[in-house]
Amino acid sequence: MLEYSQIRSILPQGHPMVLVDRVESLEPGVSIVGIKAITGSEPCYRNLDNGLRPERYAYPTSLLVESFGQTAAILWLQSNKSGKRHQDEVLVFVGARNLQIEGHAYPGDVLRHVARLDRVISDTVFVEGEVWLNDRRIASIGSMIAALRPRSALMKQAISDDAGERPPVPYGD
Amino acid sequence: MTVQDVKEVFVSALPFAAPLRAIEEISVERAGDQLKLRATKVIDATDPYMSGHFPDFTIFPGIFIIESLRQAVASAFDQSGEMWPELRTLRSARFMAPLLPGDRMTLNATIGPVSERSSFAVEASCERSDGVVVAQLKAEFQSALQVEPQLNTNSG
Repeated sequence: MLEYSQIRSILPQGHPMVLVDRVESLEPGVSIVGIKAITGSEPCYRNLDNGLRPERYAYPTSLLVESFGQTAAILWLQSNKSGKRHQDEVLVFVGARNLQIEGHAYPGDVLRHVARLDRVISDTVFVEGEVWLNDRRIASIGSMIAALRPRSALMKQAISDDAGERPPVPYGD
Repeated sequence: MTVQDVKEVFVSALPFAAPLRAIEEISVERAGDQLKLRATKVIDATDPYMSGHFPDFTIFPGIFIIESLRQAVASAFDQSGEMWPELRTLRSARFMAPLLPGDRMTLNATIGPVSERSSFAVEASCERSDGVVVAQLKAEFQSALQVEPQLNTNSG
C-alpha cells in the first residue's frame, strides 16, 4: 500500500500530471493495483461548456491511459529499488500495442488499474493490464512500453534553437 | 457523422473533456473514399498539465500525441451532431523522438473508409519541423455513442 505522499516522491511527474492517488497492492517485479479518483475539478474539465451531452464529459482516454501508465511506472520503479537508476534518467513512453477502450469514466468514478510486468529487456519495460470501474472493465492494455532515457540527452534538444540543425536523438526503439 | 471541410484555424472550444488543446490548425480533404487530414500543434510549456511533465524540464507526453490524434479525427467531423468519433482501439503507437517547447508537430493522418455506425481505421505519422518523425500511430475510431451504448437511452 502506498499513499499519495509516497507516490508524489516516487513518480517524476508533478502536479497536476500525477494521475495516481493510491496504490492498493504491489508485488515487486510482478503486479500492482493503483487507484485514481476522477473529479470534475481537474484541468481537463475547466474549459468545457455546461449543458453538453453526458458522454462529452467522459474522462479523456489520453489521461486514463497515462494514469494506467503511471501505475505501471510505480510498479517498475519500486521493483528496481536497489537498481542502477540514475537521477539523470527518466522513464519515457516509447510505445503501445492493442489498447482497447471499452467504456468511459466520469467525475465521481474511481479507476482501478491492474498492471502486470510482462518483461524487462535492458532498460526497456513491457507492461500489460486492465482499467476497471467497480466490476466493469473499461480498458484493456495489451502492451505499454517504457524506457529509461538520460534526461540530459532530451534536454540538449531544448537548448538548440535551430530545429533544422538538430540531430535526431535515440529515444524509442 | 458527416465530414467537415475544415480549412480554418481551429479556435472554438472543444466539445468534450480534454487535457489541453492538442491541435491548433487542421485541414481535411477527401481522397477517394478516404480522408486525408493534416493538423499542427506548437508545443507550449504553459498548456494545462505541462507544468507537471516534468516539473524541472518540459517534454510533450507521448500520450498527448494520442490526444492530438483524437482531437484531429473528431474535428474532421461535424461537431454539432449526436455522433462523433472516439478512439476505440490503439493498435500500435511508437514514440521515436521528443517534442519540446517551441517544437511544431505536424500530424498527417489517413482516415477510413468511413461508414455510418461502424468503426474505421486511422493511420497517422507525426513529424517535427526538422523532419524527424516523432510518432507513428495505428488506431480504430468509432462513434462515441457506440463506445458507451447505455447512454443511448438516458441522454436527452
